[in-house]
Amino acid sequence: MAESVTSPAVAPGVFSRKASGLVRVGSTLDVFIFNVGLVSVGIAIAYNQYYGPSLYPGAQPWISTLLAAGGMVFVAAAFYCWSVVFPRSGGVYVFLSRTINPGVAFVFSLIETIILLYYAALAAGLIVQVGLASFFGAVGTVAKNATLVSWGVTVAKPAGVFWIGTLIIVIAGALLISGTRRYFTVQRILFVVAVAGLAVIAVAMIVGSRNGFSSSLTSLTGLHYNQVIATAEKHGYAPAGTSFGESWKFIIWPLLPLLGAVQSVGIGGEVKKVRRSQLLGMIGAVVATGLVIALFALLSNKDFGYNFQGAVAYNALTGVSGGTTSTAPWFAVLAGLLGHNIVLSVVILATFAAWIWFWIPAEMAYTTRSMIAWSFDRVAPNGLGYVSETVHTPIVAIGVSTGGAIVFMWFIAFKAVAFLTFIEVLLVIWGAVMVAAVLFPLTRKSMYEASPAKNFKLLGIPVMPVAGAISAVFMAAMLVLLWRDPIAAGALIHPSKMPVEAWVTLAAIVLGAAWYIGVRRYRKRQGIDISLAFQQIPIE
Amino acid sequence: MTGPANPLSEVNSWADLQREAVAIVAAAEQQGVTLRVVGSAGIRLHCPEPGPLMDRLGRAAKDIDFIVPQRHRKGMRKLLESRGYVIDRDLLIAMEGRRYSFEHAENGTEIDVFVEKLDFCHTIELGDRLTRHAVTIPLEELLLQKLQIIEMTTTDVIDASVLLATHDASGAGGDAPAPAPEVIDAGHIARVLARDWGFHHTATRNLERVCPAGTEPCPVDVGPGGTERARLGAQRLRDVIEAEPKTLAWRMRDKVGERKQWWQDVDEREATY
Repeated sequence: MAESVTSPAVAPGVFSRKASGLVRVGSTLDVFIFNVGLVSVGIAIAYNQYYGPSLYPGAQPWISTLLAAGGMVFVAAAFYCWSVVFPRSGGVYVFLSRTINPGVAFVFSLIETIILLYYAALAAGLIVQVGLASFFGAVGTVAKNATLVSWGVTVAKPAGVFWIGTLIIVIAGALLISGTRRYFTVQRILFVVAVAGLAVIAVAMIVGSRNGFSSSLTSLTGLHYNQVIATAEKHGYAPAGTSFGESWKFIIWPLLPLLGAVQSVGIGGEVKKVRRSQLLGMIGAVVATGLVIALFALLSNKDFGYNFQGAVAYNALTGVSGGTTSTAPWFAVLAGLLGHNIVLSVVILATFAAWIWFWIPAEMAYTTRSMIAWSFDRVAPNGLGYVSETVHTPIVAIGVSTGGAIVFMWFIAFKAVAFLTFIEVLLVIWGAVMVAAVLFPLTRKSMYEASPAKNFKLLGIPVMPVAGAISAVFMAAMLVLLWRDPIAAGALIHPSKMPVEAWVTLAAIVLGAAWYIGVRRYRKRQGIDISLAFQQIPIE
Repeated sequence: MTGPANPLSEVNSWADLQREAVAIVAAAEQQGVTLRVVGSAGIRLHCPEPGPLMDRLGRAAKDIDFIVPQRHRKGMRKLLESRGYVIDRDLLIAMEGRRYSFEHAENGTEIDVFVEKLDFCHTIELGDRLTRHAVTIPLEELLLQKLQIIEMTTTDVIDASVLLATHDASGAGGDAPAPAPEVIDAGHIARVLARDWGFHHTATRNLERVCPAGTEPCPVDVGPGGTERARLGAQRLRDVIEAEPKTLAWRMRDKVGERKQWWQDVDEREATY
């Protein structure tokens, strides 16, 4: 049915093949939600307000967030160009394997998969620690119910984090197994819930006041606003005025969630009208979430006070007794106290849990697509791309992703590992994609010339290489900040004591490279030249 | 692979495709699998008349498209694989059981299989009408499949013109009884379009393109008798469609008009991975 429909606005991409029209699953809204969910406004606000004022006195999270979002706009622009050159699922692996080197692409993609599965588990842990524990703690405090408060403490213990976190990961895996269409539908519903909840919190914070918060704090927790600050100061906390330098150093915290805004590159083959969807999905997610996160930082300053946030979190982080709330004073807990209302507390905590949830199935979906791309290129076993005839989804790849995330959940819960320097590795991998964007028009000239990206120009300047260059510099700067910051990450390579992340990365490089070389030889013996998969030529 | 080997070593004509399509439908029937031919091949196979006209117009068929009920997907796949067709894994994952594509390992014959409904710019639900004809979907759905396309190509206009030139359109809207099997049931088409403003808008616009109202000539030369028959049929369709009472949802959507997109986006089929 080659005569069939073509959407008027759709021009063939580099690798399109003429055939029957296809109604893809993901709409522009789905792509936007996928990316916004991966930013996870909840995690961003929680991290910003907890770690910013406490550990980087003078750093204003709203300034850091806007700076990070500014850099991410260029990253999104470069990834957007990649996504229209290769409108496929598989993300980084697809881009690098077709333009740089398939072996390097596989190794990088393998490491990226490991990292993203860690972050899926991290989010599952955060739902328990920041969401559920805070929920019981805040609602119990507001309702003056000791049982709920004790549940808050119990679920935050290792066994609680592991089992509940594992259950959440399994639910995310089951959702993906039930199909992408259902996954997008669930995400759409949760997005409405999360946005509505956020709007309620914003209104509560706009009408709230610091005096109101202070009196609620005392009546509900017995803590006194000024005493909390004084206690922290006595134990070493140094309140400070706004510092641009500290705000710049703190940029790496809001950057972590904002990196999620471009991850729809992983599902590029499953979205309708890829040019419009990915543009609005990526750039829109960076801008929208950047503004929302910054807004909540400003509202937090208004209602809780910058120094109080710093002091109460500092007391919690340094174990100062009597200077903090019974459950860790994450943003959701403070907002619950501000509301001084059980229903509002429930709304706040449910909203934050919903925001954190988005990370989990989305990260798993991304890694699943990478695995399928490996399998289709015959770099990984065919079985990894097996599609169930019953549920019609790639159950093996989803199962591997689910299992991998559960392994990390165990490490997070019982070994309290925080693989913070993984973010440095991710920056190196994505930085390589940015450098590849700079080189692409030169090294693969014919491919670039035949692609829609060739026509993307701003004031006559080609977007892809320029955005790639700016992004590469931005990522290098972020890498340096992370490397030098022992609070956020620290050096990945440390002669005296190499962090676990370095060993995991090294192992993935060695095993990944060995695997690729071995597979290439094995396939050759089967009479299959896997390099052909990477040499597709443009249609035009 | 336990089934019969594909008799075609090389497919180079419509006659080969026709034989293969009919053989597949028959083999499926024997195995309890319902398959019906859709699209351009369906128009040719529905009855003897369209074929020679399509040949005269240079309308070649290049592949075969089928539709299968959801519950028969497994059997369909088994059958086609047993005949030497290789499934497109890429589409298998991308469409999650809503669509299949196959290519014959030896002769390259391509087969697309739609599941339960024809889901393009507008959706055509077959329901219990699927088995009304022994080999293809009913005439009305064959025509609707062409009329739902938001931007018709020349070949789409040819296909729709041929259908109208080789079949009368009759029947009334509402609950009026359906006309004879080889007559296009205008009432059914009108009822489908009366529920969906977007589909109605696209289809009536396309009908105008295939056979304009008034004295303007039809763009496809389907012969003297054919042209008159097509013009009458198109006018009959227009009359019945217009007379059919519209649903509340249709009327509400009508107020919005073209300010909001009325079709769903359909992309080129590209490699997903």
